[in-house]
Amino acid sequence: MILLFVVAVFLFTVFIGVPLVWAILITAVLPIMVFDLGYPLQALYLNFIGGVEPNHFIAIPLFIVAGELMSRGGVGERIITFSRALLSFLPGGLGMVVVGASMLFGGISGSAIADSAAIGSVMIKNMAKQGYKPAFAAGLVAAAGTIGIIIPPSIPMLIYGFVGGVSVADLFLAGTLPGLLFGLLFMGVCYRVGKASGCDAGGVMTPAPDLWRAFVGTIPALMMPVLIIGGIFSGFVTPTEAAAVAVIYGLLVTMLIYRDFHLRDLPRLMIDAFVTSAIVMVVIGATSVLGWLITLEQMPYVLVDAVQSLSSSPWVFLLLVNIVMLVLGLVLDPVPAILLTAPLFLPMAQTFGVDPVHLGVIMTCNVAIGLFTPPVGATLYVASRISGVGVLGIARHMGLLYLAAIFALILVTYVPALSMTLPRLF
Amino acid sequence: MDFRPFYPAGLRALSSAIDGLLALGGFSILILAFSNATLRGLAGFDLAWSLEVTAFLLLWTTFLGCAAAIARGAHMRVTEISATLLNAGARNILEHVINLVIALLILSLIWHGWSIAAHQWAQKTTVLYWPVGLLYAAMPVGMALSLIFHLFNMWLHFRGTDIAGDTQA
Amino acid sequence: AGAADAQSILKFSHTDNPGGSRDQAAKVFAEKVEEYTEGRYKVRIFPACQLGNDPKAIEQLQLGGVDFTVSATGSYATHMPSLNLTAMPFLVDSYEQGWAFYDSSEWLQGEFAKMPEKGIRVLSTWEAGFRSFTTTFPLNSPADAEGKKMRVFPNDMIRWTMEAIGFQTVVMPVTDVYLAIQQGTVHGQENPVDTIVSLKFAEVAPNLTLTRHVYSPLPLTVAESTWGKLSDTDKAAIQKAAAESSAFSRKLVADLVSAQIEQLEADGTTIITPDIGPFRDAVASVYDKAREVYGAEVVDRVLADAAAIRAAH
Ligand code: NA
Ligand code: NA
Repeated sequence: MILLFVVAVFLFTVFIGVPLVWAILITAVLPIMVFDLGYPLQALYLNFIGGVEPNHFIAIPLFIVAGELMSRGGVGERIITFSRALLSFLPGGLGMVVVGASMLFGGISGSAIADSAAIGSVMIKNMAKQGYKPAFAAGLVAAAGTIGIIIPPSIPMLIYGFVGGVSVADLFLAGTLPGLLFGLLFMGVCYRVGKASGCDAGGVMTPAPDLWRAFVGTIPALMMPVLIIGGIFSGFVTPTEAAAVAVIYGLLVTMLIYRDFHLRDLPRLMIDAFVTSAIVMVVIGATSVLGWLITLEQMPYVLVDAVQSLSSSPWVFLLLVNIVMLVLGLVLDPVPAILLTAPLFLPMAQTFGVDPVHLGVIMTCNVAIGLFTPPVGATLYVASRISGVGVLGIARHMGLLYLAAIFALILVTYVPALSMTLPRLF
Repeated sequence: MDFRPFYPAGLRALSSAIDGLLALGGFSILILAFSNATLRGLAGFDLAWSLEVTAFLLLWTTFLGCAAAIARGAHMRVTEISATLLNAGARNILEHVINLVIALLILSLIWHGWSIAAHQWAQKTTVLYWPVGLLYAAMPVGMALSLIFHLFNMWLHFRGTDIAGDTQA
Repeated sequence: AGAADAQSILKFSHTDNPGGSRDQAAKVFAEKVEEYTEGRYKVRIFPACQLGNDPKAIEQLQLGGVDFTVSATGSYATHMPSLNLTAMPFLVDSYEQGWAFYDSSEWLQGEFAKMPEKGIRVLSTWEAGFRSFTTTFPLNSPADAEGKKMRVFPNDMIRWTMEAIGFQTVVMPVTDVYLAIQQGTVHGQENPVDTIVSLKFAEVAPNLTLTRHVYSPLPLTVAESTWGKLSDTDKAAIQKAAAESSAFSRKLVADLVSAQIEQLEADGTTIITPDIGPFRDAVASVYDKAREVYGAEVVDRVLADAAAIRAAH
């Protein structure tokens, strides 16, 4: 009853145009008053503060600043020149650059939001310049950024491992192939879109000397991910600090090498980045307010009861896990979605003989998809902010990406070897 | 839908002051994270208080940024559906109602947010012994500033000021 | 759920995994509360940080969002700084001494008695064991700590202790620790064995050194606002349930730890039982530092309480 009310209020407020942060908060407050639930509002609102408090969120504004710096004339031009030179023979080559870069960033950061912010602020403009629809470019950034939580390291997998008592090392290994699968399928979508729309049709081979020149010009920019990966894997910096290092490096490159940025422009850049990240973060905070109410009222149990009464085989069980997770993913972020459901699904998985590591990968893929489905999806918001295209406007151009993601999800769900081969090898 | 060009001088000054604090907070976070990484990497020295200060800065820049976003009319929203289903007059009335509800919600956030900060004033952070309420006050203060901008935006809308560029989501 | 329902359901928040030792004790507590209050109160358990991490759960006690929580003594110290003194190294050596310290130290009972003013009431103390190290290198004596980075949670006493042993300290939230060890940002962490097992730290830092440097149990607390609404009969019933769940938790963890250490060893972890003497000598300066910050009188009183208990048990 309350669950239906919550869903109705949420959809209604969002669709009549209440800004998301307030719509989510109204959805959390209204049931407490209507059903006289007796939860003090000050206790409810503490989650608004707690939701934006975690230190790793600092990576969001910093990666936005780093990305903005790197997307200035010099760097952006050179990256696009080099990428085109490298991939111009393939239809959709520029889109593939987005996917490849997202997988590269995903291999270092563990946060899909930071990935989308870093890639999106460089690539959306460039894709639009190439002739892609800005909505598709934004959608691709939103979808590709989520590969970051499937490929290790991954914050949602860490949390699943902690909650479920499952080996984190195994989970990380298990996520690698599924992450590559999502990436390949997204690249396939780029191939198809580039070819069909004709904006990025491929077929042009670049002469070797031009390719070399383009490469040399891009080295300072390409050093940035190298610096980030190197810094994190050598243990010098945490992923959050890597974002700060990236900003300082970006400043040095754009001021000293490419000479297209002045220190006096930095405050404006900083302000824009922090307003952008604040817009995303207050929505994340509001989501954790709603998540608190959803947890207290034990609404996920209603869904899980339904699963239990319907399922009779592991196949049906996994199908229902996917449906429940996809539905929750519409309105919840990965961490609360996993916290709410992992303790409920794990014992059920055992009765159906599903490996807990495999279940963790399936759930992670689901919450990753939830990040780019409207109405609530963090990478979708980031891409929307950067591109200036509305969330629904983006989603309308993501049909093929959703199709690719669902196809990948089905493979991950019903081919356990995709997840389990690597953990069994090592 | 940037409202700032329509603001009187005082309100514009307030908006610029918030922007200044955001830039300052942003620089501090950047310098702090960078120097902590450098110090630890090169000198084997970790600033024990850096986590606490960044948490403080993160909370304050987030909620001040929320107010700055209201002045810019930049909060994410879905306007496509009401634009398709409703005519201009109905949309106008709906906008007034939504604005009023948001104002009430922000008021409740200020009121209870203040109570949260007051309750946690006696709690001290673990390294610098700052009042935890000082961190949490970011929410009611940010919301109070948000309310100021929101009320003036409401007034602009009520007067029918033509604010160009209907951005969405 | 109507208003009447909401009143009879009490919310218990903890950060342990479902099935973990804290979760088991919470279930015992919940059963006993329902039994002894003759069904007037039901306790609903929210495990695994569902309602917030340790600091947030304690704040929720004060704001009326949560009725019960159980958390390390150090988590309450932000509200009651003197509780940091329980984290002074090597105060007690055995479970029996630790139990006696928490149940009968006059100083500690006095501090607990002041907590209702802060909106928090201590009902009993559950077990979590002693803190020990897992490291990427073999830690046999303080000499091995030199030049190595140790993760600490944000707590002065622990940080001073680590620095006195010879580590460089890195303050870090617990959720980042596994990755940080794997990537080499830090070379180890220290926690009770039960926590080490549930957070899988031995996977990335396969040397367990049993220093047992701090006894670190978990006070079970109730929101003072909730407590004030209970009848005397129900207060007594809940107090009884708290005492029995404490006995359950102490036996459970004490029995569990040796089995957990055996399992870790079977899984390839090197178990090191070091000579404690050099560690004890290394941390002598921590007591002086505590005297500077908290005053010599109270520090000496805590040390004296602990010494008396060590002598008696
Ligand atoms: Na990743
Ligand atoms: Na979603």
